[in-house]
Amino acid sequence: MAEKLTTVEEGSEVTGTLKSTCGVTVSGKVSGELHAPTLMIAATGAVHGTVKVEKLHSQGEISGRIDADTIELSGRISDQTTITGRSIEVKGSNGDQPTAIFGNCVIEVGVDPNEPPAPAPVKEGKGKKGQPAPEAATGATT
Amino acid sequence: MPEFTFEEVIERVARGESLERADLRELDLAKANLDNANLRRADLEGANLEEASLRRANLASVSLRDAFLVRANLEGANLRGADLESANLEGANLRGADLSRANLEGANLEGADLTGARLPSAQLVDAKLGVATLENANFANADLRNAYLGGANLTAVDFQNAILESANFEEALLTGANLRDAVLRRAALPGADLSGAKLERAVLEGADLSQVSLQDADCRHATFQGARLKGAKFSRTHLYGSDFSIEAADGAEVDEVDFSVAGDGSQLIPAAGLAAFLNGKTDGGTASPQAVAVAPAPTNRRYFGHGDVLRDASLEFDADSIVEVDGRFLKCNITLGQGAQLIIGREGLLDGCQVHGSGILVVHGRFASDASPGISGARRIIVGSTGSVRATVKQPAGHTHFAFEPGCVLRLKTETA
Repeated sequence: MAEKLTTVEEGSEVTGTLKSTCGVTVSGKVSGELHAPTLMIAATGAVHGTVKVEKLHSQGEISGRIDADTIELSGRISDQTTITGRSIEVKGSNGDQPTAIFGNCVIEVGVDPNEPPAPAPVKEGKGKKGQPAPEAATGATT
Repeated sequence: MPEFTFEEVIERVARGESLERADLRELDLAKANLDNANLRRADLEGANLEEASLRRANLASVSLRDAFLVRANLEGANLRGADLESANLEGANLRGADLSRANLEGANLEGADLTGARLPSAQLVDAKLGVATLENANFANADLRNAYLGGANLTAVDFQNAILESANFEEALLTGANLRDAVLRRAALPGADLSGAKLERAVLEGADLSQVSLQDADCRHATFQGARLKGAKFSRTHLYGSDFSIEAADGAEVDEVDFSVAGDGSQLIPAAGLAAFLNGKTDGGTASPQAVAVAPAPTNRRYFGHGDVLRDASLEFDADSIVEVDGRFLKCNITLGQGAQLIIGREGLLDGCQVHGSGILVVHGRFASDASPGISGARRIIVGSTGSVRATVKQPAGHTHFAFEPGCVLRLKTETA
């Protein structure tokens, strides 16, 4: 039994929110919000907007806010695109053309063990009113 | 019981009538003339089509499971999505046939002619294709695990992204074949001719490549780990980015091999200089593919070892020079000449530095810069699986060629020219 896929064929255009519990393949164009476990964008495909998926494999064009656990990219990443994820792969090019063309983009991928952890949020209700909570207090105690 | 008799089928086809979705299971259609017939979605399971003529027939999504198609003529037939599991197609003519996404699991295609046939994404697990003619056939993304292709003519065949694990290609002719990104793990290729084949990023781990010819083959970024290379011929083979090593080369017949990035033969290393070239790796032989490929050239090489610290320095490196950093560069200004390679080793750190020029930056360690841009004009930026880059990259006209390996850490802002 073949795996079920939601397919946006070449020549088709979807505008709005697309939520799917099965994988999505885009050979046409999607503009808006897309939520799915996997997203495969073919070379002829384009996705513009907010994408939240577990696995992204793009050979086409993407722009907007892209959030995926694992990302495999080629094709074109347009200006004003933010890509966040846990793992990214862009294969090296073999000729004169890059595998992936990046416009003005922001890429935030992986966890840097050398980066200091984000400060713990201040908890309320344990310290006195207007005073920092004990966990957030700094300096030596006597 | 089939829906029609042999005579009724012949009559309908002669009148140009459709047999779409017809039930023809187990029907004996040996030597029948079914040229141009419309049998779309018909059920021909177990049918006998020995020496039948089905030229340009529409057999899309047909069921031909266990069918007997020995010496049948299927030239130019449409078999897209057809089910041919365990069918016998020995000696059949499938020239120019379209078998896209067809299921040929366990099918017998020995001696069949598939010249120019299209089989993208087809299932050919355990299929028998011994001495078949597959010249210019398209098997992109197809699954040929455990398939037998011994002695087959696979000249200029397209196996891009195909799964060829444990497939047998003994003595097969694969000259000019496209095997880019193909998975050939544990495949048997003894005596195969891979001259001029394109094997970029192919996975050849544990494959038997004894006595193969890899003359002029493009093996850039291919992985040979555990492959058997006894008697394999490497001549003008392109190996940039591969994990080819002296240990792997033991027993192979190496003439001269090319380590140029573009695979254009501009960095040919003769057999006599190969050991010195490959042993120049800086991390005891476990360098990543990129590190192997940019291993020390005889001249123009600088190395900054662990413990070296450069602070507030201005550095300029000539075109095509190779600079390896396992130490720390702090707030340095680095200019790379055209094609110069700056390699940050696993222990290396460039902190607060700026890199300019149309060079190549390879990062296995850390590059962190708050300058804007921290990197400008780089032709290539390769970040290995252990690499970390936090920087703003100003790309040149024509864009930077980026390559990122899974596991890398990026805090990147890319800007166009």
